[in-house]
Amino acid sequence: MNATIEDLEAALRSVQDPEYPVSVLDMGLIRGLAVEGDTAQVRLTYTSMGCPCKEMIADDVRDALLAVEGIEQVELHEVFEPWTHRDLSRRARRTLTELGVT
Amino acid sequence: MSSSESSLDRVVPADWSVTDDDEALAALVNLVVVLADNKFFLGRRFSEWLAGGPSLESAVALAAISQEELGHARALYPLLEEMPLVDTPGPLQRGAERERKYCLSCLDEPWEWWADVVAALILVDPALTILFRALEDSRYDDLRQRAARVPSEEVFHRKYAEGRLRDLARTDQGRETLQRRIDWMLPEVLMWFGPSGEPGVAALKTQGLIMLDNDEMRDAFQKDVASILEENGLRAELGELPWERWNSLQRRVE
Repeated sequence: MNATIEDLEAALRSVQDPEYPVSVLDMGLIRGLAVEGDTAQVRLTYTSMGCPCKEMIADDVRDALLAVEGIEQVELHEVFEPWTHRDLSRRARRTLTELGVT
Repeated sequence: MSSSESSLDRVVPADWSVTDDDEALAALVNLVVVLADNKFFLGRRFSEWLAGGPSLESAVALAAISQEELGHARALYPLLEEMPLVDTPGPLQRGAERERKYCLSCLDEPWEWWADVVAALILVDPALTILFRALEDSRYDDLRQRAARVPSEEVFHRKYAEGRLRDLARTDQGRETLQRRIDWMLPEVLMWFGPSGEPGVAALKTQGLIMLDNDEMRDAFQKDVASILEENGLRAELGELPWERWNSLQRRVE
């Protein structure tokens, strides 16, 4: 059975940003998801072009998606789209506020 | 950008459709490696001042700035691998991977003075940003995407640069030291945009790969930095630029 976008999103809810207990989805790093057969395609940006955690985040995203039933391959595309605090979800804002991050 | 590497050795362009013009392609390769190497060495030079700056805050700021400069370089190097030319310059990770460097000569060696850091922040970094801005509407998508993001990350660098420039220019001694470092860097930075009517850049502009020519970029840079220098009692007076020492391939003064 083919995986769905919802399956991918559910898997990515467990992938946290390395600095904060916020998922990569809530951080606004995931800019697009698609499924083609057994391949998950991800459009990904980072908070900064110099983010030192790029490889770690990419590895975590890949591992999480490969654990989804029906996914055998993952294609990650860094898209270099700008990231600002406005890309945070309401859930992420609440978590960060509780941690004292403004 | 230079197109002096005239004997182009193309590989079969599988899905490369950016340009089929040899002059534009050579200039594009040169443009990317020049931007990447300058970002790389600028980041390296800034990082060497993490422990030597005037305050803890300067160390923290330079750590962030260095990281972003190196990140910009790392984002550009992979573009060279996808270009349909044999033997494009490889990426730098430690700085010694290849002998030929495509960076300004003022970035060659570690800087001796804090004023060098400030001068580079107010001259070199903004010059590179002008070129990125000229690529924000490039027809070359992979480059355009990267170029469009860089200026937004440079806003903080500029604010920091202006603050440190004001600090240094507040005293006669600081202002004189900074003026000497500006006098050293500025001619090469102005030349870095290239001579008027450079054929490679003209080819890039004709093909919609860059939006401004060399003179337009140089003018934009001068307008950008003139007021902050003047406000702080610093001069941007120049004699004849030493074009006889200009290396058009590596875009630097020899």
